[in-house]
Amino acid sequence: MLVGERDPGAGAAVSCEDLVKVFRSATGETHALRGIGLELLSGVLTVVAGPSGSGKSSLLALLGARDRPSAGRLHILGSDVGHASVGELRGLRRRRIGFVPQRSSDGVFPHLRALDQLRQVAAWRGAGDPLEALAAVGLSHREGHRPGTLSGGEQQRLAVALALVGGPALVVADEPTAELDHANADLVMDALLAAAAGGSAVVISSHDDRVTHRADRLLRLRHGVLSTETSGRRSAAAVIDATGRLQLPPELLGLFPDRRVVVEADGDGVRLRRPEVGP
Amino acid sequence: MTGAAAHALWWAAPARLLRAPGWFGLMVVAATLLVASVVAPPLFASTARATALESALDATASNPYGPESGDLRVAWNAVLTPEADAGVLDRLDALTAYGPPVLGAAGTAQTPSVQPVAVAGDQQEVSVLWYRDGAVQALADDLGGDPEADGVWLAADVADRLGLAVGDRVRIGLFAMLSESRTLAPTVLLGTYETAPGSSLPEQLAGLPDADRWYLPTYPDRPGLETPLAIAARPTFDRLVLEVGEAPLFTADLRLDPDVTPDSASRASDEIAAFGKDAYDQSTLLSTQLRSGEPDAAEVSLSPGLPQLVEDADTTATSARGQVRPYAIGGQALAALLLVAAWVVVGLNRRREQLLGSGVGLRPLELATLGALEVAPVCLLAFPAGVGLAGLGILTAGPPDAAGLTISSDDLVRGGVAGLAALLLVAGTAAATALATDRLGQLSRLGRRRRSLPWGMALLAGTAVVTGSVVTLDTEDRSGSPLTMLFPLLVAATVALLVARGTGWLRGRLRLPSRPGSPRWLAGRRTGPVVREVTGLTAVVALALGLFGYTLTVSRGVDQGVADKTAALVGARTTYAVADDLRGSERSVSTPPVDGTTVVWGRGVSLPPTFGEGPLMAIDTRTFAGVADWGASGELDPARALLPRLDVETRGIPVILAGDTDLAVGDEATMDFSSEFSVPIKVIGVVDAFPGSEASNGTVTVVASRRMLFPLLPPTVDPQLPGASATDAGAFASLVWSNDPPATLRAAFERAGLATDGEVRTSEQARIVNELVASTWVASYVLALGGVVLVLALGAGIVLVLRLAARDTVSDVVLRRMGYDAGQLARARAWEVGYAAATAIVAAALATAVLVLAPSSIDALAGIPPVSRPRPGVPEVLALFGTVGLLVLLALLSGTALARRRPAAEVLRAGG
Repeated sequence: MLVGERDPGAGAAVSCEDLVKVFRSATGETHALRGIGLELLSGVLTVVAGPSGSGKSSLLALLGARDRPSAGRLHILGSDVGHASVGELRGLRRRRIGFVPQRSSDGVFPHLRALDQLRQVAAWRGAGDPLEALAAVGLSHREGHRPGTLSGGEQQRLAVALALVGGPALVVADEPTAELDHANADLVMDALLAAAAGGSAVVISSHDDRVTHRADRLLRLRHGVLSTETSGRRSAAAVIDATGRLQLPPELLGLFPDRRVVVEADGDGVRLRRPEVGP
Repeated sequence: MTGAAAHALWWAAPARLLRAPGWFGLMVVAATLLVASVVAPPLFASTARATALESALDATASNPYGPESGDLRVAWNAVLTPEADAGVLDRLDALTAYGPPVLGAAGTAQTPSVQPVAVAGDQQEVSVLWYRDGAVQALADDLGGDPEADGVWLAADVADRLGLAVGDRVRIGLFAMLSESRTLAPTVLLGTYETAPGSSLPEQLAGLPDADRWYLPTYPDRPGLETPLAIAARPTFDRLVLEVGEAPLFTADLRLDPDVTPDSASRASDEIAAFGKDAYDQSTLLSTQLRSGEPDAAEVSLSPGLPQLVEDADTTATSARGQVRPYAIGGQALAALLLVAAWVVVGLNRRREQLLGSGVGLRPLELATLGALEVAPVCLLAFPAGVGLAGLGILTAGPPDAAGLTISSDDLVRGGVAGLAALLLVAGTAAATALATDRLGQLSRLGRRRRSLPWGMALLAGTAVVTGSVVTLDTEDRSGSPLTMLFPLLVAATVALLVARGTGWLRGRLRLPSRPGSPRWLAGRRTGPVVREVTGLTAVVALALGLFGYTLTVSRGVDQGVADKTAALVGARTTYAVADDLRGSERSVSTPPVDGTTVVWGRGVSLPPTFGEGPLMAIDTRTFAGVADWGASGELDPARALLPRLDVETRGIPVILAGDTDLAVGDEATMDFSSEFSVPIKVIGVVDAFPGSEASNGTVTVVASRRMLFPLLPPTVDPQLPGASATDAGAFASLVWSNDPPATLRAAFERAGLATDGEVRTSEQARIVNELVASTWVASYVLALGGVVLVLALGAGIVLVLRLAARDTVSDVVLRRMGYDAGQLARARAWEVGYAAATAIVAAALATAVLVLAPSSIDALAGIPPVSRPRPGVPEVLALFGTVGLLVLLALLSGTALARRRPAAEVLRAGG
């Protein structure tokens, strides 16, 4: 098991095993996640990266207790999401999880002023004055504005501030810097790192190198499966799931055009080679 | 942190909708309609009651005091002491809804053998003591004299014959002709007066209001001839009647307040009953006062007409309330549906916010409360608006007594409760939406299946069950059943659903030819996440249009049904019962007696072996068709077409049978006249109803031509011959039917030298007495309900337009970059709305056709044939097409406006 470097002694805010998410539609089923196993520790900022359609948003929706897994086990802050009651999950979301949706406009109340939104959420989380959260994302000067008068980037920063206010135990952000310029993206990352430093387990999805480089831990997702994990400055390690599956990176996959491989133990390591072709 | 800041969502909620005027307006309209739908039915009933009372009072306005009048006359037969007299009048003066009592008095001892007389010397003239409040004063004012003086005023011709001059002594009293004895008391002639032509009243009094209804003594053996009056002031009258032993009759006339309300009339009725009871209850002050009378204790008599009029009004109002109830419930259900739908639509536009609310852990109860807070201003506004709208609706479409419309505190309470109900409905909808949002995630577990209710099948099954129930009910019971409104609702919904799904299926398989790239081509290829929503909204528009069309056909059907039934009840606008006058001076029949009339002879006959008599109408076929009322729907037209055949020679007298009979066309039978003689008949037609066929009791009315029938009757029975008298047992009654009002007909009779005192029946009276008038008011109510349904149709159509526009927000930007202009995009959307509207109109037409052809469930008075049924007309078709045209126009205009409104960058960043 790989863990983040920061505060490794902290407990796991999230743990999941063989996590599967299947979406049904009129045209069939889509397997968004196919057996994810991981733990997210408090005090660690984890970034989930991967190409579009790799299952990042599905994974984050599950981690934010906004959805239930189709199969597998998912524990968030001590609650078994698969079996928890609607009320229990609601309580989790209300008091202990901050969530930033992919679209910034989905994460703010359109009719409330920025500061009022923060105060409302702070009240639910039993927190004090939320001005600090607003300042952390550089929006102190916009506290009296409603989302309709904010730019897309400002709305996204406001959504991040809402997720961070009150220091929730788990912060889940789906591409929180997608609409931001460099300076503001750094500002938001600073705030998220500060939240992690404050003891929150922070997990975000992103394509942005500026974000992935600052992560304590980087998980790469491909085709609904965790492919590699990088912690701190160590090199990326491939992930073997609970059933022993290992996902090869695309550049290596090309070495095995017939999708067959011979696995051989080689001292401490493992050697993969193409099977010999018969006569 | 302040408390307000910590609860910003709550504090902001009440003003939330105000920031979106469109949605706010939609919610206000929906809530207002709900409040109005709750307040309107009781307002309708109370207005119906007021109108019924007013109609009844109008119909009896000129009737004499008594049981046929709302005005009250209380009479007693003794001279009371001044204190008792004042007490009785005070008690009467306190009666609710009546004006002050006007006291009159007259001697009533006059009989064929006793004459009231004025005597001067040896001369004696008939003259009866008479008093009326203000009469002596009026004479004194005009002719001079002291109104307070002791004495009498005599008619000038009486005084002349007595040789009297003003100031002379005169004796007043009674003359017993058998014993030739006189009982006289002396007094003075205060003055003389000229009588009005044809009246015993002085000229000064005859023209006063109500003078034609004053009590004036008449000669016992010549009821039409009034006895000359000896008019005295009240003290003189009291003294003289007691001294001469005259039998006084005091009358207190009280006129009903013209603006009387049903409630005050009802109170007045109770007070009148209490007055009569107290008069004979010896423990009461009134009884004590009456016992002070001289020469004997006074006996009170009163025969008020008001209680019966109030009861009739209540019966009519009850009937109206009963008839309107199913439509009222339907209206309330529709209004509630509209409110819920409006809130759901508001919610659809806040889908992301709902997810956000769920995401941040807001509980359904909290979301419900937020919803309630949000619509609280809407409901506050809807309360007065709904009450006002209900009042306005009743004024414009309810019973015609606008003056009777009063909004009571009960109505306000109902309005408040409806406003609260609107609040709770929205809160409940918000809670249900939140619960549904929260539970969506539970469905993703592998192995679990989404369980959705089979709404379509449930609707079909429900419609089948309700249709079966409606068909098995008696026609008369159907209208009072809650199924009356549920049945068309379900039928329209089923048809709408089937047509919407069917056309959706067809559109997926059939592509109408269109030029690639054209707006119509684009419209045919646009799909998206709102396809099901568009189908649903199309079904809602179709349902609403179907119901709108149906309400129009119901309104027309009820109105025409009332006209048909009235025709069956009376036969013509006015019918006048005459005795033998038709024979005129030559004692030969005069048919018709005056122009524009026809004569109908009637009596009872039986058709053996059927037991019991039914009415026979012998008509003059040449004039009958032009005068008779044939209703409005055409139901009676088949009978009209048969009229010429009544004069065709056959083996028996050709007859038309109207009503429920076992005889069929072509049957030959016998018509029996009280077992005295019989006539063979041949049935040439059997119809449900015929003009006047319901005027008399009996299950079957026989209609025959007088030309064919009368020659076969004994001469003593033939009403055209001089030998037959209308007063003989079994004689034919003669009625003159006319299209003119009674006054015109009476004037024509006078010109023709015919008696004008026959019994008159009018179609207006028949409508009131038989509660048909209530049905006409209900028809108006249904029409107003149709207006509400039209609002629902337009509202659903506008939502459809907006949802399509919302769907296309992003794609419009892309398409504009591909070269489409705003006008083309708007036309494409207009085509889509046009498809939906065409679907809706087909469904509405089908639903209306099904409902019109289904067994009638709208006839509350099915006991009176013919049965009322929904009737379609050209206005319905025009209204449906007009509505659809308006929707397409709205789609075009709003599409153009919306496509230009939002900057492309903003649209793309927000993802629509």
